[in-house]
Amino acid sequence: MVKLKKKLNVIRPTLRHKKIYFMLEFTKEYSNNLSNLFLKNYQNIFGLFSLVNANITLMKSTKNTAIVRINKDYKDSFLTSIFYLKQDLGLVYVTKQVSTLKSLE
Amino acid sequence: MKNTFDFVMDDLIEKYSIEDLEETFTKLNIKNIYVFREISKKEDLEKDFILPKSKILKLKKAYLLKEPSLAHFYKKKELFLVISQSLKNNTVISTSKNIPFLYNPLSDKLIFDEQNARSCFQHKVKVIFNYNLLRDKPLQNKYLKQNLFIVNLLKIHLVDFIFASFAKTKEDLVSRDVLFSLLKNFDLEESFILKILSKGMVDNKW
Repeated sequence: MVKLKKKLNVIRPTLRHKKIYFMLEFTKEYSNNLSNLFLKNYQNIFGLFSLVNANITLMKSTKNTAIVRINKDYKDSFLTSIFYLKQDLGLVYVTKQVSTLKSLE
Repeated sequence: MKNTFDFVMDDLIEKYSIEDLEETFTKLNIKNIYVFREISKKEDLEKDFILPKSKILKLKKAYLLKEPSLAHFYKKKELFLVISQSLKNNTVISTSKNIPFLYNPLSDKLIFDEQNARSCFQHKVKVIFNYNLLRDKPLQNKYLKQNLFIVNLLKIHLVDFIFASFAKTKEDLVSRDVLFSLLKNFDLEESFILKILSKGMVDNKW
């Protein structure tokens, strides 16, 4: 009799994607869905497959700041996509780039 | 990144206080700033402009000449660029011995070819791109396509080039990290990009 799996095994650390956290500050207040803005803008520039692999997640945000998590291999692509957010966010400062969320707080 | 620089217009200096600019440029990791005044007539060359003093930033005056013919009347010591934006100007500037920088070889159609690149190499003319043209619609995609082609040409013919903001407002500015990542999409190596972003590219002092 086959035993049915009820829980997924823990993924080995070597198989997990390495992540990087960005602390962003911007001059224009953005009142709409900031996460959607980052995702749609990235997809517009680099396409669907790159978006899916990049795994962009908005961890925290205020009116003028955001903490974004992204897969390390797609760091340059994400920074390039920020270049095109002038109209929505104004001047964007990349204040910090760290590998753990704790070092941002 | 050390010894970073940017080219901005004098409108930016007039709009914001020096303390505000010091904070902004420090956060963006830019230290050397060349402030440009646009010159469209010979009479404008006689007018001088004064820069505010700053302990943190290194501000320098520079001039942006609208026509190649104005270069004959330019006798100041400060840096000057000549605006191109046309096929005729591209040819005149790239073959000139007196003009060190060609600003903006982009237009509605492609106006910069291999011949221009070769001339730039022979006469040691550096090409300057305004990266804000790549952000502003509706010609964004056209300019990007031309830019990618021209950068490749300049790379092959060993011509130096620079990317700068020519910012009139704070929103036109971009952090050096973002610019570094953007330039990676132009098929340039990291060491080469660091060279483009350093002040040595402007004054040849490495």
